[in-house]
Amino acid sequence: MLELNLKQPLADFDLEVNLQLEALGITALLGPSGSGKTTLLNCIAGFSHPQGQITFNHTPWLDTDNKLAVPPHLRSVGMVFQDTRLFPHLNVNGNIDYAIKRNPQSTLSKTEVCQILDIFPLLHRQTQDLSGGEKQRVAIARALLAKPALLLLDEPFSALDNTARREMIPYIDRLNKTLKLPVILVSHIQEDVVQLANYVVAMERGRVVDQGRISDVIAHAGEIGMVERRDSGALLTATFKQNNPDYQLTTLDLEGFTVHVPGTSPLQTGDEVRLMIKAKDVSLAIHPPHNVSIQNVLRGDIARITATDQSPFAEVVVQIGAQQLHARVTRMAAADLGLTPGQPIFALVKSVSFDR
Amino acid sequence: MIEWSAISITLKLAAVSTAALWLIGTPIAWWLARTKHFSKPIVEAFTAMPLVLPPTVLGFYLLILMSPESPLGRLWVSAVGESLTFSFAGLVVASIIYSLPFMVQPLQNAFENLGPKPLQAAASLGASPRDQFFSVAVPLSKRGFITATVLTFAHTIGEFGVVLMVGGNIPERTRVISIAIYENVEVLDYTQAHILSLGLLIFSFVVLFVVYATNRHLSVRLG
Repeated sequence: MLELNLKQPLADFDLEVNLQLEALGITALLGPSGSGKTTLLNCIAGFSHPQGQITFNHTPWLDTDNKLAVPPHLRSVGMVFQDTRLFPHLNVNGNIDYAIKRNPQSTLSKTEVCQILDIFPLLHRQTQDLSGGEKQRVAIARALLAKPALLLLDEPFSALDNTARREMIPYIDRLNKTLKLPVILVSHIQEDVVQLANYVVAMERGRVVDQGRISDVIAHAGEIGMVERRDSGALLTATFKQNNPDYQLTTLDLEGFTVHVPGTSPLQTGDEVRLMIKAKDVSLAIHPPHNVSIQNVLRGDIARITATDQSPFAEVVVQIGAQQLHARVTRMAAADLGLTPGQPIFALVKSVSFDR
Repeated sequence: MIEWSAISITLKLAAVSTAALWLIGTPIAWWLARTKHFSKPIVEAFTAMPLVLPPTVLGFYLLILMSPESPLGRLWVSAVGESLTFSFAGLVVASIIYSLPFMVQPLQNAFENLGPKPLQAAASLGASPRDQFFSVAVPLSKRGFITATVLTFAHTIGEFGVVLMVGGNIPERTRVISIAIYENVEVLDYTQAHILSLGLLIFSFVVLFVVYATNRHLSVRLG
């Protein structure tokens, strides 16, 4: 449990955060650049000095009323910096050993960590010869071997290209699942967060504007301006069924319906996959459609419809089994079809993809 | 006949002063590089003064400060039994003050270039501030230390005015190379002056050559 009650003046506004985080799985701090996310991580790690209190699992780290500020090296928190900050005077092995030497009681073995992050082949390299993704993995390994009780990742994907980013996601996922280490990560790229996070804290101009389970926050991300309205949508969980190499497709099961997504994947049957389905990519039909190119058709009931006179669009929330899908249609189309809450409906998903 | 005593006193003076300045200059440079205290420019100005003052001014005040009539000089005499002025110890004190900026400024630059980032990384891995300094700041400021050491050493060897004022010219005790050369020229003993001057010339070139050569090598290694 991480309890934060902080105030820190920044250049244009104040960082003012009052948060209780369970901090069990992966928590994502989300928000536009300059919204105070990295400063918040620095406050938790002890590199920024706000007014207020920070308590982690009942241990106070900061309490300015009582003039208490535990210095960074005595907080059981690991931090992976955006620019990795590997020590240039040490090679990869030296960087890793730097952490081990200062935390000899670590329960994690070097072998285990090097295995999880796949860095055995890198150990004798110089840090400046590594690629961006390799540097990130070494930095994470080094942070893990300092035996933190909480791991902070500052924009772990920002320096990576799309391929490296896709490769990085499973490592972070594995680290949380295998090591049961709570992770707080800062990101402004929604797709990464969608695949990784359990819990999301959305920030804007130094304040928390929304928080909750990832699917809930995504569902109203458009309303609170966290993403462009035209990119808003819903996060649905599907399970992997099989690869279809003939057509280069992956077959998934979503609430009993079959969904095909482009590309094949190394997943196993039954593995969970998160799908971000944008509302603009979903069309609606009253009757089961025939002779259309769209193959992903889900049957459900209209849960609610939101529309205002100012916008040409209506947002229709469709209940599919236990999950909800968002569709954006014009208000005219909604009126012509006579859409009403409770009505059975077919949702046609034009485009869907996932990141692994 | 080479005047070996002058050479050995000079080298000893440079070595002792440089070693003392590691201990004195490094914490000053570290503090200056990181502090936001209002007194920083005052300390910086004091540290840089030997760069602009004529050595005679510095030597004059040091002479007054160290004379057996002054409180400091009296203290020294009662502790050691001999006067601080016109002694090797007095030369060391004068050299430390005279060469201070040559140690502090390159180190301060190196520490400022280092910035807080590598130290934060070390702290996040559990390194105490002291540990951060020795395990990260020192190795990453290696070039700064080499430059500071060489400049301090070489500058101490070359000093003249302060040494003459504070140390006098006592053979076997305070007579250093630069003063020996001056005296050789005064009495028109050009052969002796040549031997020492040429020696100093070659020595300076070799030292500087080694520094530049190592620094180039370092810059490749540190990228």
